[in-house]
Parts: sequence; structure tokens; C-alpha cells
Amino acid sequence: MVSNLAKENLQNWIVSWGKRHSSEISDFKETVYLIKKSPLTMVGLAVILILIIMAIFAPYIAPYDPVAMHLDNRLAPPSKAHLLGTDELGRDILSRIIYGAGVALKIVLIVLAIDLPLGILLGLAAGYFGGWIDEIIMRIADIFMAFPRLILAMAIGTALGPSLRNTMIAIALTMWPVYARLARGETLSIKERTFIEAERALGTSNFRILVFNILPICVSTLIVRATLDMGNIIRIAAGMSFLGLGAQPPTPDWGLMVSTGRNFLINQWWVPTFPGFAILLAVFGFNLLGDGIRDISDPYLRRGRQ
Amino acid sequence: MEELIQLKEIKKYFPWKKYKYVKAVDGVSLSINKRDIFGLVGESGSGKTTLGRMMIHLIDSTSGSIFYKGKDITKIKKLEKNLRRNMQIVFQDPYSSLHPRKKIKDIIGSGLRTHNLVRSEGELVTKIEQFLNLVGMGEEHLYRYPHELSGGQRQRIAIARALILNPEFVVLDEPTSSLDVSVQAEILNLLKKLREEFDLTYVFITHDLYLARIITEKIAIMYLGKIMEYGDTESIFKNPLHPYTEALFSVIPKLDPQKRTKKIILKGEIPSPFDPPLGCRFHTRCMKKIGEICEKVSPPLKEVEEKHFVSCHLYD
Amino acid sequence: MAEEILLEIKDLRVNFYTYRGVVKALNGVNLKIYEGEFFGLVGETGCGKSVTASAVLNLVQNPGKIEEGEILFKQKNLLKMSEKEIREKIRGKEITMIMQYPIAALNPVINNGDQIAEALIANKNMNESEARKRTIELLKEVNIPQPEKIARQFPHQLSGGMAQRVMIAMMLSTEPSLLIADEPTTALDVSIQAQVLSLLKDLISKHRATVLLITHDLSVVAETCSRVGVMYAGDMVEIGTVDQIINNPQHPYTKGLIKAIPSDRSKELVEIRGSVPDLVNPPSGCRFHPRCDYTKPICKKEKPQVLQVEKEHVTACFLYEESRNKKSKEEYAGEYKGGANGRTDSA
Repeated sequence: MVSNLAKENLQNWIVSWGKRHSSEISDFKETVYLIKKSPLTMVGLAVILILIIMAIFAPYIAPYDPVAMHLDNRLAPPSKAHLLGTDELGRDILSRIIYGAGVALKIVLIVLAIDLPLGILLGLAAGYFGGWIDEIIMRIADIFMAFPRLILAMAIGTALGPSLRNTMIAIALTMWPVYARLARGETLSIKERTFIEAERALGTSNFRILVFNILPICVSTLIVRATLDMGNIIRIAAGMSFLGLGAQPPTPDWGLMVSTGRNFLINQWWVPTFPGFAILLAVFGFNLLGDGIRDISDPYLRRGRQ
Repeated sequence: MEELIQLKEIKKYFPWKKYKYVKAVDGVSLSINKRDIFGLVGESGSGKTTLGRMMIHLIDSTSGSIFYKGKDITKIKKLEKNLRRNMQIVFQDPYSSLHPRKKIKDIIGSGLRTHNLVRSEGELVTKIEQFLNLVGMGEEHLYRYPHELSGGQRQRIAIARALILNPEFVVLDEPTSSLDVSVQAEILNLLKKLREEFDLTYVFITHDLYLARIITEKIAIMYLGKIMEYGDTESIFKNPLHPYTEALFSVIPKLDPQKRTKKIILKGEIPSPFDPPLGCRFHTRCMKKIGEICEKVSPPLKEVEEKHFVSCHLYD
Repeated sequence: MAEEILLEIKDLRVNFYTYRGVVKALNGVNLKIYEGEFFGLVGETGCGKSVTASAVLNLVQNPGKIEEGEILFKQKNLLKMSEKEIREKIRGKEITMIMQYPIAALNPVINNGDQIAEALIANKNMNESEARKRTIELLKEVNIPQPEKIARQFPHQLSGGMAQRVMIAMMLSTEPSLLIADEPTTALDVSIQAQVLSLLKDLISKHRATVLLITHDLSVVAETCSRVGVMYAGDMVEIGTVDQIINNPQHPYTKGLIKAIPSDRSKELVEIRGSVPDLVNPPSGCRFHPRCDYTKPICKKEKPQVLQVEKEHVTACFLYEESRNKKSKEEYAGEYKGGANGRTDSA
């Protein structure tokens, strides 16, 4: 009896949830439809999904331990036992690449987890309140933006000392101004829109206007921008590892693998080439996906908003 | 009749670069009675929209006073909550006046939440449903987004949002000008019905004289921040006194060829409100200019017929 | 008016393939435009008037597709021409278009004079000094005061009315046979609208061009056009001279539209009940039947035929078919006079 009642309740709840969210459901279906219609986005999505699966299930997929050395089997060419060969310490390159996906994704996620909230907070404040708040935040952002990103990240990385954690901090420090500026620009333009004026006419407080009206639009714009930046983050992180500022051995980091492998490029090409390809594919995948998401989120592409 | 709003020499200058001002509204005095439907008619740059927003204290005035039930609201920095609730606005373009990422429930409910008019979520939903029905829409729209609705439906939502706070006074800023004609008729009839039901006072801003005739009882015709003519709608229609009003009437496209009078096509463009012409604002385009007096002296509003005011030297 | 047909659209069908399904935007549109006339195409948002215009210029864009039909321009089917041929011979040359927002349609970084001069050099094989001279003449022709000054300015420095004049001058520079004006005065103030419309009328009679005016405003059409086509939900419901449409409308939609316009005729606005249908699932039969006050069973089943009312006046409505059948049973000659009287009554 009780379980029947609970079941019924649950069913009712699902039905009413469906009713209340029918717009979101159809929106989601439309998104799926638009992604399906764009082959490049599908490719990007597939690459990223593979990357994510590799990252999560690395221990089950990878044929070998990524850090286990087999000095008797150094620099073995690709073969049945080692599909992508082994490196100078006899480690299986395929396994290292699979584990490396996790490292790359971790960097992307942590950098964005720092920069998105930071950028939104600073940008929103600068755009909405203007005046000296805006002036201070934006001038600091300008200073950060005045340097080429990789060089600034390197400088910060060097100052903090080489490690994976410091790489992430360094990249995060170089990227936040992009988001802050974007959020500020969005806030400035949204603030002037009629629906905000309508909220003022209702007597809505500044706080509510910021949190319930401006923030949601900012967040979605920034997320679109963030997907476009994911490839960049991987690239910079790889660059820093390549220069020895990022992940330290024996971490299975792609940039690091290319860096140590570059000495063997002529005679044992597989050592640096396969991790290089991994970087290329990941960046490519993120860029395709990012472009696709940007196009799909374009209101002009969507029904009823032409 | 009870006076609801009275404007005295109200001015709004928007600063623009250094030492320059856009004189959007430049000395307007008028009074609006309770339950009036008062029309503000003018072309772009006439200041009608700015004036409408000042009346509900959405923007501050530069000088002059606005009395709402005898209380000067220009002196207050921030409107008290109950005054805020009393004055609402419906905007011109329902495509930009509704938040694109909020559901209809949250759009209409925002005011109720701000003013703590409901105690529970259930009460909120009931009240919103009641107002949705009132503006002719079904409950099924509660959880939709604005982009799923047509222009007319969106404007109904905007009307519900304004009326749910139970205001006394609503500024309608060209509420139908971005809608199709058949929808326009629906919205106007809805607005008329709602006025009866809630005892509302409307200020109806429009550029369309015929539209003004259909809905308003009194109109003020504005040009470059000043009132040119002001009075009962019918008497202005029967006997337009100001040359600008006359010209406006003659150029509105008409359906019946036989009713077409000779068009008075005004020369030139509307002058820039940065430095409006001295004297009478209209003298640069006027076809009945008398002479130097028009260029030098700004004509005051005079009562030429009963309750029919005009600002023109022709009637000195 | 020369009775030569300049543009003939036959049974034009356009679909848009969207996520929600196929939007049947044009449902077999037929239209003839005579040389030298000022033709108005009226309808509300989404009725297909702008799609018709873009079909004429072969500018229907993805996800839209012209499914069927012919567009005969000077007896040649534009839909059979290659994109290259249309670009080289038709678009911007024989057929030009002015739009609602001229400032957006003009190039923001080239001054007004050079834009027109460039069009002249490209299309009329003029050299630069000739083109400049002609540019100033054209600007004078569209009543621009101080044409030399305006020619040196950039589009963003112009007011809406001025920009629309520059646009008109530019479109006239190639001496087109057909000028499509898509809501040319909707964004303008009434006093400026009057200027631009009277200018267009003058220029057309002077250049003997033909104009297809697309607008939602029946009064603008009544003021400027000689003939009108009324569209509803992808169908052409009625075509006639302005006088026939305004004073003797036959289709219930046209009648409703006239009553819904604020005009000098009445102080009440009458709504057309219901709303514009979703063209993914358009109503069966006559697309207007769910909103019509005179719906009969047949309206739901069949698409009404286009019927001749008078010379030049056609409508697609079963109601008219019925009333005509009734009339033909009565004495025809006597009825004709009564019909003429009835016209003034119904107005």
C-alpha cells in the first residue's frame, strides 16, 4: 500500500515536473537536433567524449601502469604488446596518453572553476556599479592583458615554482581578465535593456536585478566563451609542461611527454609524436565543440527568435 | 473630477558630452484626472517617452515638480514601495521588455515577490493564473518562456505584470506599435476593459493620431519637448488649431481617397533636440509663420476654446 | 498604365525546414504585376509577403526552399536562371530593393556619394567624374538639400528619412525595371513618411519604373498604390485595385483588416478573433477558416479557388462563390446596379 502510494506520488511528481519543464525539454531536444545537424560539432563532441571516458576509466582501459618502468624494453617501436611503443624508460606510451587525458581535463576544469566565478563576480560588479569600482577592476585586468598569455603564464609559473598546481594557478591568473571583460560588457548592455527597466518599475532591488536578471544571461555567455577557451588552456598547459614549468615527471602529462621525447624524434619518432597527436586532437576537439556550441546558442538559429 | 497627477514646468535635460544637453522635455505643465485616458502624441524626439517615464519616477526630472495626489514626487530620491506599486508602465516592444531567460511565472511574479504580496508559492501561482486569465491567456503559459509566445501574447504578459501590483496609474508607451494591426485591436480593447475593471488612469503615448482618437479622452500634442496643443481629443480632431497638428492630420495615410485633403508635407527634418530652434520650436518648418515673433518669442499655452489650449502666435 | 505584364508569379510554394517541422510559408501564390504600376502587398507578420519578395530576388535562404512555381520576369523564369546569371543581370540591376532600415543596408565605411558612384561605375560603365556628377544629380532628384554635403557624409550621420532617400537614389541609379520596397517607411515618423512616399510616387512616374511595395499598413497602400494584393498565412486571399479592396472587399480577412485599422472611418477597433496559425500545421482548406465568422463545412475541406469579382478584382473565398451563385440565379442586370450601391453601403 505504502509503496503504491509512494509510486503514485512519484509518478504525479514526474508528470507535473514534465509539465513545468516542457519548455526546457523541448529546448534540449532542439539542441540535440541542431548538434546532429552539424557534423563538425558531432566530431568535436565525439573527441571530447572519448577524452572524458579515457580520463574516468583510465585504470580499466590502459593496458599498463603509466609510471611503471621497464628499462629492458626502452624505446620499443609500436607493436602488438605496446600499440604506440614505449618511451625512454620503457613505459607504455598508450597507457600514458590515456592517463594524460585525465591530467589535461583536470587542468581545464580547475582553471575554469577558478576563472568563471571570478570573472563573473568582477565583471558584474564593474559593469553594474561603474565608477571607481569599474575603474580599478578594469585597470588591473588591462595590466594582465598587456602581456602575451603564454609568457605571462610562464613568468607566474616560474615565480611560483614548477608544479602542476602552480601551472593551473598561473593559467587561471592569465585568463580571468577575458571573462571579467566579457561579463562587464554583457552587464553594461543588459543593464540598458528594457526588461531591466521593467524590473526597476516594479521596484525590484539592485541585488535582485543583478542576481536574477543579469547573472543568468552573463553565465550562459561566459560558458559559451569558456568552451571556446578549453582548447587554449590545454595548449598553454602543454606548452608550460614542455618548458619544464608544468607537471613534473613521472606525471603522465602530454606536454611533458613531448618535451622529454623530443630528443628521440629522429630515430624513435613515436615517443614524442603520439602525445603530440593527443594534444592536437584534444585542442581540435574542444575547438570544434566550442564553435558548434557558439553557433547553436546563437538565438538567430533558434526557432521563433528570428 | 479628482486630479491625480499634475506637472508643473517639468524639464529634462540629458547631459551629452561637455556643456551640451539634449533638451528632451523643456517646460511641460499639464494635469491628469483620475480615470482619464490621456494621450501624449508626437513624433520621435518630441520627448513623449521621457515625459511618460518621469511621470512614474522611472527617471528623475531636471527641474519642475510632479504632484501625485498633491505630493511632489520629484523631491523624493527613491519612491516608497506603495507609491512605486501605484505607478506602472507597459513598454513599446514586448520582444525586449520581457526577460528572455525567465519563465512567464517569474516575469509576472517578480513584483509580487518584491513587495511581499504573497505568502506562499501556491498563492503566487494562483494569483498569476488569475491575472493570466484576466489578460486572456491560459494557465498553460505559466512555465513557458517569452520566445515561445507571439507578440500579442507577450504584450498581454507585460500588461499582466504591470497590473498584478494593483496600480492606480499606468503609462502605456506605444503598447501596440510593434504589433500587427489585428493584434493591436485586441490589445486596445483589452486595455479598455481593464480600465473599467480596475478603475485605472492611463497615459497613452503614441505617434498615431487615429489611434489616440480611438482610446484617449484628452491629448497633448508634443513637438521637440514642448506641448503644442492640448485639450479634449474630440475638439482637437474637429478643430486642430496649431499648424503642426494640422500638418500631422493631413499626412496620416487615410483609407478613403475622397476624405483625403491636400497634404501639407512639412519641409525638412525634425530639428535636433541638442539645439532646438529659438522662439516657437516649430517655426523652422511652419507653413503659417507670421514673422519675427515666431523666431524670437516662445508662445505660451493659451486657452483658445473651452478646455482647448494651444501654443501659437497665430492666436495672440 | 501599360497593360504589359512585368512580373508574374505562378503557384509559388516555399517551405522552411526547421526543427519543429516544415513551415509552409507560401502556399501557391499567384500574382501579376503590370509595367509601370505601384503594386502593394499587404499582410501581417508571417503572412509571407517578405518571403515572396526574397523569392523574386532568389534570396530565399537556408532552411528555406522554393518547392514549386514560376517567377516570370519579362517572360523569363527567374527560378530557372543560374545564381551567376541572376547576380549579373537581375539582382541590383533590373530588380532592386529598398529596405526598412536603410542605415543598416548602406556600407558604414564608405561615404554616401561614393556608394552611389560605385554602383554607377559598376553598372553603367561610367568613368569616375561622370559618376560623381550623376550622383549629385540623383541626390538632387530625391530632394536632398545640399547634395554635395550629404555625399561627403557617412550613412550613420544621416537621419532615417535622409538615409532612405540616399538608398532610393542608389537603387534608382541602375534604372531598374522593378523596385521592391520592403516596409520603406515603417521606421520613419509620419511627417517623414509622407515625404518619402510622395517622393517615391513622383520618381516612379518620372522613371516609368514599377514598384512592389510591401507593407503591413493598408492605409499606406491606399494612399500610394494602384493595385493591392492581400496575403494571409502564405495565401493570396484577394487582389484588386485600391478602390475595389478598400470599398468593396470580398474576403472576410480583408474586411477584418480594414476594420482593425485605426482610421478616419470609425472610433471603434474591431478585432479579428483568434491568432495567426502556425504554418507547420496550417489549418486545412482555407487557412483563414478558424478565424472566419462565416466558416462553412467546405472551408475546412478544400482550398478555395481564385474567383473573378470584377475586372482586376479576384478573391479566394467560398463565401464569394456562394453569393455569386445566388446572384446569378436572380436577375443579373438588375442586380448589377444594386451591387454598385451596396458598395458604398459596405464602406
